[in-house]
Amino acid sequence: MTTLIAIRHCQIGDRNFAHGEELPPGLLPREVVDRWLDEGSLKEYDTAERRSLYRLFAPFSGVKEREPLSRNELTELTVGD
Amino acid sequence: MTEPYLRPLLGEADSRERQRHDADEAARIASHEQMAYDAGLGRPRVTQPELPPIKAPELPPDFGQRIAELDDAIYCKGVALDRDKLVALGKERFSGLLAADRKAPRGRSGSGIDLTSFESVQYALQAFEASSIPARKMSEQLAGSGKEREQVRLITGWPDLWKATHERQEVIEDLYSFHDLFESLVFGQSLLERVSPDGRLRSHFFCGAKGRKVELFKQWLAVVQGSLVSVTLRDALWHVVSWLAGEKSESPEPVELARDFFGVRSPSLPQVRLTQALLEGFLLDYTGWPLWEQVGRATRSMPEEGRLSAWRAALARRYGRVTDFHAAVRATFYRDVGYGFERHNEFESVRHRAFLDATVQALLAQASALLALGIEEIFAGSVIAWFQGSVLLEGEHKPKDKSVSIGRQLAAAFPGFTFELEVKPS
Repeated sequence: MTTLIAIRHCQIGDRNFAHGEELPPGLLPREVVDRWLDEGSLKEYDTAERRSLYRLFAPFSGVKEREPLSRNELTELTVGD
Repeated sequence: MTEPYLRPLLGEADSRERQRHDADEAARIASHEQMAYDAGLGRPRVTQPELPPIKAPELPPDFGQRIAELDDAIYCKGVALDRDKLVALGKERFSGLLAADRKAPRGRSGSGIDLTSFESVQYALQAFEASSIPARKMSEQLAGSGKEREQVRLITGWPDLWKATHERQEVIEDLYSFHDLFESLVFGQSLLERVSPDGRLRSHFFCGAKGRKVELFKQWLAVVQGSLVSVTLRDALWHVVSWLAGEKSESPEPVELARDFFGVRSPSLPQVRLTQALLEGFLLDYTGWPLWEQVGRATRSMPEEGRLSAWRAALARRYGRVTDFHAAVRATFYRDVGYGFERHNEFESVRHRAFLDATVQALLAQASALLALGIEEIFAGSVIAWFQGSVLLEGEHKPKDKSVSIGRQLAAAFPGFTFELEVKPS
């Protein structure tokens, strides 16, 4: 899985994304993503380098894909059994 | 024949005599040194003082069983959560998280910085040490001093990010804003994931949890269904430590202390927070640089070590029995190290800290459990959660009217002492 990040300000529909801001997964069609990546308007990071906030908090962000929290986060920050 | 007045200098016979004399002298000195060394090895060890008598509360004989039964009842009952409210609050906080992510500075080449990862943030800021704290000099290293200062210079996690003083304060605040929201959402999401089909969340977290998770839960109290009342042990740490030490003074008001320390009539919130953290540090016997770090972590600001030490000394004078208690405990954590002439006493700070923290935490847990049992006795079936220092009840109860009865078990366990209770709707 990868995380898409806006490079420089960009506007998609009525949403504005600042430099360094994450794009929600599935917002753009794949061919547009590929073109913007080639143009340098987007950058793609592996989730090992930059996790997706949308996928980490899928129940609250509305995206379908999920990304797991780390073991330490699950131990230290969740309500537990 | 008379002896010459002046002995011939280094005549051959005299040279041999002198060499024999020097060798004998050297052997005698070496023998004395060896005897002293052997005597040092054989000397009886300095007797380490025993721990002063650490008071233990007089718990009811069936305390363990009763608290286990209460925990079972709390777990089986669960806490009723409003799933829709939980999702709505989660979405609101997620928007806040995105906004905080947008606001946090990344710089031109910072698109790869993952604000959810401390390592990523640390690397981006190059925040590995507190540059404003002087590094240990060679002379200090050789003398074995300055270790505590060297230790607190390190930035090892989110609680230490405030030490990155080479960054602007706004940058650190923005990063903390993001991090706090992130942690809150992780906890909130876990609540959503664990709610049963009957709308209740069952977890042992509600049976005596403490620390950061309890703070996070309180941020999501709005999603707990029903009428809630919270009963808190006011100034629990002060009461437990002063009970241990036999300190009879009234519990200090952080606002009053802040007025004294800062010399103002109306101390600001950061000043009161710093004073509160300093008081807690004093009660837990933090001193010097460890105290500075503890206060800094609690306030996320860079306190002045000299001022903290002066204020701590003022607290030590004001609350002499607490000071004496800590001194007596500390005295038992020195051990003999080294041999012969290098022998000295070394303070076992790690063991001391572990002992003190465990003792205080155990007392806080026992006091909190007694509070929960006291409430359950008066308002049967009403307790839905108990944490370190507080109890949550559901229903239209008025525990304030029954505070004497509720506190009866506490008073019996901690004789001669009265815990103050704070009751408010949640």
